[in-house]
Amino acid sequence: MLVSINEVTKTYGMVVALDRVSFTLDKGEFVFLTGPSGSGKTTVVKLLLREILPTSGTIKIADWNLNSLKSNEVPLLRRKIGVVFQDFKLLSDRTVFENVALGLAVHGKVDTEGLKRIREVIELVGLSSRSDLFPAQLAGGELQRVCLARAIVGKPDILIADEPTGNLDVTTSWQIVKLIRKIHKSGTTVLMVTHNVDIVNSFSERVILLKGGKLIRDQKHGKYEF
Amino acid sequence: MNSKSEEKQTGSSTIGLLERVRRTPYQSFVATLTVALTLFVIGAIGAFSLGSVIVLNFFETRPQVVGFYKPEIVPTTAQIDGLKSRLMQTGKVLNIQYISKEQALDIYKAPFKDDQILLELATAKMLPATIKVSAVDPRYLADVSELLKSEQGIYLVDFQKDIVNALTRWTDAIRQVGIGVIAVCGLIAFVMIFVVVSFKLVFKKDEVEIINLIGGGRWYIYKPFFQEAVFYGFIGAIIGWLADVLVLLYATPFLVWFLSGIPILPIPWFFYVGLFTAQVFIGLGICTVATWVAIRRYLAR
Repeated sequence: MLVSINEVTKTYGMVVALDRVSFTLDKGEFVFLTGPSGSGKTTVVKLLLREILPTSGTIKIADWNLNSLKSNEVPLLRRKIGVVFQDFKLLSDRTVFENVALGLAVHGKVDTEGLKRIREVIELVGLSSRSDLFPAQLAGGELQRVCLARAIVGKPDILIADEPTGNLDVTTSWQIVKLIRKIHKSGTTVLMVTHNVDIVNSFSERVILLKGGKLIRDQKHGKYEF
Repeated sequence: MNSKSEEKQTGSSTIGLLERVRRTPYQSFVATLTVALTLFVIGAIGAFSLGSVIVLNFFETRPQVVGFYKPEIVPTTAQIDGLKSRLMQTGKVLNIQYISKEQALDIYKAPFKDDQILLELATAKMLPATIKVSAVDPRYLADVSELLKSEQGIYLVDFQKDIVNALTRWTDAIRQVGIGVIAVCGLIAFVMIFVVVSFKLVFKKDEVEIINLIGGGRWYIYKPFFQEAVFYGFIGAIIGWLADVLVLLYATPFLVWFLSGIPILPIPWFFYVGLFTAQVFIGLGICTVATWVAIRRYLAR
């Protein structure tokens, strides 16, 4: 078991963002975390990244107990998690290569092996010819590819894609999804957060459905439907 | 083929120090210049203070009080020894030198050894025997002077109290002003680096947040700011030191004339090495502490 969320509740004042949610993720799984806006999907991602702590319940990722994690251990945890953000979160003053390298640089020195790895992932996401360009010179789909490359360059235990297609057109969205599938097939555990019905329903993968902070359904080969 | 970005990879950072400095040229220029100016002023005032100590020490260790015996009197050895003993017993005297009439004549003749007429005119009889006394501290000059005046046979006492006092007053005043100027310059440099780093932290708020999210540790995130601080401090120290050296070299001919007789010039090489070392340490100290304070303030928000 790679991820374990057990009876997790998160409240913001009087607002209940998550209400006693429990699920686990096994190594190598591909899971869609779905639900309408305000269902608590982003709260789950923030909890997994240890941006916030649960009000109650426990969260474990591999050997890490996130409830008792010390602040100086948080970066170590995050290096085990690759994250793709809806708004890309790329550094505007760094080139594609430098942005991707950042994902590896936080692990330590970018040595010869590291440079080789960076080249590999840039090629994997199809941006070899654009590695010297800055984010402002790229299209939306390309920006998401850079974000994806940065997320996987450090060979994380799990890839969390938080609404990776939220800012993209249909065609580009599918390209990104295919890329994420390709990364999953190479052995990476993927938790894809999305409310895109077409994408979820096109694959026969596990679907966890949240609504109003509660876990409504967790199906091995699920669909996005209420 | 490697990309340009790939070629720029250095260490664990994705952008090298010089590249970061180059991307914010005006901030870097102002920060470095402010540190350089501060260190130049500190170096100049430090050099002046050290020089003034040597000059004062020179004056203070010269015979400062001279007692002249009446020309017709030749004090006996017992009288001289008695006077020396009384002077030493005060605990205020550093050194005593008795110059007999004959020694005075030799001293007088030395500069005129080629002028036969002058040499023939001068005799030991017309010159007074003198006793020259150095005090352990210029403050005791008046006491030593009073003691000599009370000695039988001494008709005139001369001492450099006014010169030393004036010199002490001037150097003390300049040192105090110097300390004030150093404090103000140091504060300006500190605030300048603090503002530059704070500005960069705010400017790079998103970057800090992103690196934090993808697993960058605190040191990884803030190391570049410290690296820049070290850059400003070190380059500032080099510029400040070079400016000090140039000013000292330019002023050397004047100083040689002005301080003739005082063994202070030429300035030894280890002074320049010491000055540079001190400036580097002070520069790095100001810049790293200012950076640390700026980061602490940023994190506390």
